Amino acid sequence: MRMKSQSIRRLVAVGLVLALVVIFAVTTPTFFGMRNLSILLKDSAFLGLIACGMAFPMIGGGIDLSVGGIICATGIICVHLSYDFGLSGYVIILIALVIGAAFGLINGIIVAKVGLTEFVATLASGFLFVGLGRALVFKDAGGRAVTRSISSDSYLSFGKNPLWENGLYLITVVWIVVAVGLYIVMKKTKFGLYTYAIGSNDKAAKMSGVDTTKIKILGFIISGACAGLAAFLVTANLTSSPAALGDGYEFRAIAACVVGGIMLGGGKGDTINALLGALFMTIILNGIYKFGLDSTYVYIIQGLIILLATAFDSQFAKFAAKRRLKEQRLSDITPASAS
Amino acid sequence: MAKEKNIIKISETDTSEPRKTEGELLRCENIDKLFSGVQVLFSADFSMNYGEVHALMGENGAGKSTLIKIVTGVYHKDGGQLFIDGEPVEVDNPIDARALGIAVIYQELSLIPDLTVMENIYLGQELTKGGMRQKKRMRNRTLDLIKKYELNLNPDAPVEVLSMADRQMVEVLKALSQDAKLVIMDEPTSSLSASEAEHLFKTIEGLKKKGVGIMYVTHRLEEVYRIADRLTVMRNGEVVGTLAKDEINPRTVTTMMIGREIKTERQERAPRNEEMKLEVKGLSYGDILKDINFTAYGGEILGIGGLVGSGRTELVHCIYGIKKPKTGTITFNGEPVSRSVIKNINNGFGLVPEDRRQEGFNPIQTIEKNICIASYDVLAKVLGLVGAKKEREWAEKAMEDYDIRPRDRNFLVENMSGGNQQKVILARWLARKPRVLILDEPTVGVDVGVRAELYRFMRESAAKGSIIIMVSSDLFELVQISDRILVIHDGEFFEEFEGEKATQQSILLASSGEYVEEGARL
Amino acid sequence: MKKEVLKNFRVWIPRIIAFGAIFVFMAIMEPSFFAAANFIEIIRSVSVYGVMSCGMLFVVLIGGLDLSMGSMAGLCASIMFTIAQTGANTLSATLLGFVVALGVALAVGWLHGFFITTLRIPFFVVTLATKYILYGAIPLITSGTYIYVRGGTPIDKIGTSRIFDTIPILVVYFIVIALVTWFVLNKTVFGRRIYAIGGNPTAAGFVGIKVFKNTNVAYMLCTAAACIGGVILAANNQQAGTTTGNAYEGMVLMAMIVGGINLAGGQGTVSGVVFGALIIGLIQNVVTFMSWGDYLKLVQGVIILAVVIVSVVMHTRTVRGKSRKAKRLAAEPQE
Repeated sequence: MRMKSQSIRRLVAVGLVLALVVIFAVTTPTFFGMRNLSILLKDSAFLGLIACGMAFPMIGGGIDLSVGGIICATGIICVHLSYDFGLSGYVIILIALVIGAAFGLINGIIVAKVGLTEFVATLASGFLFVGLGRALVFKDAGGRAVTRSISSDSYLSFGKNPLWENGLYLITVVWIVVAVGLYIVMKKTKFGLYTYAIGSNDKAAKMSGVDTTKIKILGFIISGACAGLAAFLVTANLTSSPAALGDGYEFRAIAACVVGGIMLGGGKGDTINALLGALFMTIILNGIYKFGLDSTYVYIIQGLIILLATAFDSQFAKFAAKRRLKEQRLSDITPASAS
Repeated sequence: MAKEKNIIKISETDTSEPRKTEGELLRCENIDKLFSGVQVLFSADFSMNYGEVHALMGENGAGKSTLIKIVTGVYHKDGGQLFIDGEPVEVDNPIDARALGIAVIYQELSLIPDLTVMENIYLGQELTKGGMRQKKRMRNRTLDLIKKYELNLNPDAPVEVLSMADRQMVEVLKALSQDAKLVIMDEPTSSLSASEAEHLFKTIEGLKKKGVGIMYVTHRLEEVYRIADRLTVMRNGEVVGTLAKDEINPRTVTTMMIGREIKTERQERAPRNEEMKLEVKGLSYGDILKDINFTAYGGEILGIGGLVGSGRTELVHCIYGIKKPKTGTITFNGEPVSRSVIKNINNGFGLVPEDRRQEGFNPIQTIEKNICIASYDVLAKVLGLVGAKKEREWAEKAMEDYDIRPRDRNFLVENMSGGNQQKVILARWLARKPRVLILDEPTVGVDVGVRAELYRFMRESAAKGSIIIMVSSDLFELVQISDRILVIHDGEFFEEFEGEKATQQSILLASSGEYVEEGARL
Repeated sequence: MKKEVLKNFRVWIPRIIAFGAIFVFMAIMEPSFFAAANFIEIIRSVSVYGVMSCGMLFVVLIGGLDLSMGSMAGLCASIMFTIAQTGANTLSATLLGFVVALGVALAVGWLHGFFITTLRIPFFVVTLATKYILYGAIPLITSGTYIYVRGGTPIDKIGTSRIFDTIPILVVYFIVIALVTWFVLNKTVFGRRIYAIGGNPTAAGFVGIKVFKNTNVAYMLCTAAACIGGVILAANNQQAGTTTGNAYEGMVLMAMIVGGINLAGGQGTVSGVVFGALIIGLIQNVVTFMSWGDYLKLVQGVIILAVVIVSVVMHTRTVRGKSRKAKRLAAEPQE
């Protein structure tokens, strides 16, 4: 039995991550230090959360360009809730989830009900969410924008300090719990299966009685909820909500998904791919800083990664299709033995 | 029967009663159907037994698909009665049909390439427990099904790695998993290779043994001999008759399908212009076309017949330059034909494609722009500058000459009727006075009135000395319009007909790979 | 003929209403809005959006989008300014700078086309990636600082000259580019091909149009327009650097949407683009004039989403109505 192209693609992603680990382990002796690893896992958590959420619309054949906007708006709302109303962090995290999900619902409705294409709808709604975030910034008496720090202990406990010295951050734990949960949803539930179905062949799924509208909307809700959760955690880590919060996150999440092996166009990949991609992106970005390179290279490298990964995938898909055709011809001549 | 009981039932429903495997399964009595006042089915009778393969044949528009759609609840009948197991039943929608055990395998498959065989079989009807899919249970049942029908499938293989024949098996299994007792197959072999088709026939035989009734719609006579127990032929909305296995022979069947050959006044053909000729030599394309040779002359309409999927469309695409042939040469007046579409167009070629919505017109552009789009070699001579006046006059003349309605050059093509859309595409080429005009199924979805006009335009163009090549599945049209007819069978040139020899029956026989016996008469 | 005039007029009604509403609103709220200086300000910002939107029009017409326009503008301005400065701001150094910048823009445009057509990667992913690459490349050119030009240099003249000492020269660029775009789209075969590809790429291929080649050219025209837009924007500001042109693709996209350009391709006019640029420039001006700066993005977001949704809903309705009309017309005897 030959290997499935999906497994090959995942091995490539694992190989990429391992190669990075080796490079950094050799060049920086502190790489395997507990402190470094815990920070690395913390940083991967933000991106990982967003990417795991984004995986749903992407596997369903779409894309969600509004997650940056969702993070921007949800982040500032979270800080308001803590600063103005003094709510506990445990309450706010739930509210953040709900707000993110609500934004996702808006996306889902304009895509699945109104009938806009995914990228137009989420690009437009992304503008709206960013606008909402900007409109909600804190102002001083003179009307100038200021940043407010979070002082609530319960809020900060999520992101400011690790659970124990040089240990895991709560953010990382949340990420792992969510990633595992979403993996189960994706692989074990009807909804997960239908997401693959609509990404692979929308029409056929409809013919088989799948409610494609509902599945699409749910996918966007998951993506939005993950972004909302990430927004809360980011602000907990930064102890405030900067005005440019979330800027470029949609792009970084797409990059993570694509590098990890979730193909544009849908139907292939899962949250493990997103997870691998997030690790890869974080290690490489941390490495850039570690090598003392200017932050400007971050942008360039991210862009190049996305171009190279998608170009690789498009060529890989061609190769896989060719191989498949050859195998089918072979099996046409010599019938395979029963399984 | 006792053995049957031991096999685990796949569906959650109907587990109590043992399945019937004998006797009458379906009976349609006096089914009538009207579409906006026009009768398309005339008191059609049809019946099926358990464990029987009952083929259904007829030309396009004979009423086969209407009958199927009534049985499967897509259409409502306007008269008559359906019986299942001898009991009168009402099938108001596809869900009713499914509940009664009627399943259809459509031409375009409804499978999800990225999901496994098992996931596809259970798509839309998963077994779940506490919100989770019960993979193991579904897998076991799939395995049981595969074993029961003696198929050769791996339940965990993604469908995209399967051959077309295997995918069809999965479709069949999907139907059977829903306890189908009647499986309707609509031209299942149209996308299969010969060995794949053989594979399918074996499966069908297996299903038969298990008592499943199969209604098999096809255009291919050889398949009917191969697998059918009975054959019902339809024509113009009526059931002409039903033949038992030993009564089925090509001559009888084609006679039933065509009825009395209508002798039509053949139009006066223009003298053949030997100066203008298109020669195809040894042309092959992929696995689809093999060694095609023919010559088309100016002044004549050359018809190309054959079944859908026989390679007709690929042949004309190769001539036009949009597909690149594997081997062979195409020459026009002695010069090799270019492989660039634009060069061929400038050299006087034109193609009215099969699927006008996908390949023909730009729906969100005006009639004017759609007519002019192929003629900017004439309309924009200097530096690619377009003369608006020239363009307008060109379009208005074409609209006048070919009677395009509405006569508003700024009307968007997407809002036009099918016939007028086709006229726009035809006018696009005729306005250029083409030297080689290729038409692929020019009258599909075009009403009768416009059809006659299209034929007239083709004839006029031929009379001016052009080469006209027309691909068509409509036998009447092929015989009436063409001066000469080539029939392609499974990608190979099969036979050529001219004059008196070109009858609907002879073409139909040739399309099915049957030779007309020398001197035989109807 | 009469019918056509009427049809065109119908398109302009909502546009005129939009302008009227804004003006009436401002007349009530803040009469000082109508000061000449403010209008000159509006023209200036509208001109840059307008130039870039004309380029984007080509890409949107073939059914794509270029999200890298803002970064492209900033990069091109930085390249030109750097070269001009290195050459002591002589005219030849400035020209060389512009040519190099334009060359880079065209190369990137070609790359966009290559990734989108040959490698079949969705355009929004490709141009989103280059948006970040180009943005990241700006500090590499400028060494991380801003490059300023003094008055009197050629670049300064490009950006801040005034006609009759009042009207900013930028508007001239806008008018010229809009006219050229109109000419190319309406009077050349290339224009016809662009509309044909946008409406139905498969059908375009069947009449011999080279879809890939024309798509590449459209993306190159777009990056060229981004280059010109970036240069005049920076020249007008007398500085170039990382923030030059930042997020302008959003404004350009908004001009497209407000101007009624079909984002699915194949439909859209230059007059729509001009109108779109005018409206977004006006809105931006109104918002800053009323010192509602914090709400600018929110207002823009609401407008974009609302217009996109309304246009999609309207389209599905009109198609239904029109085909009914066509059936009736085809049934009527002619003459």
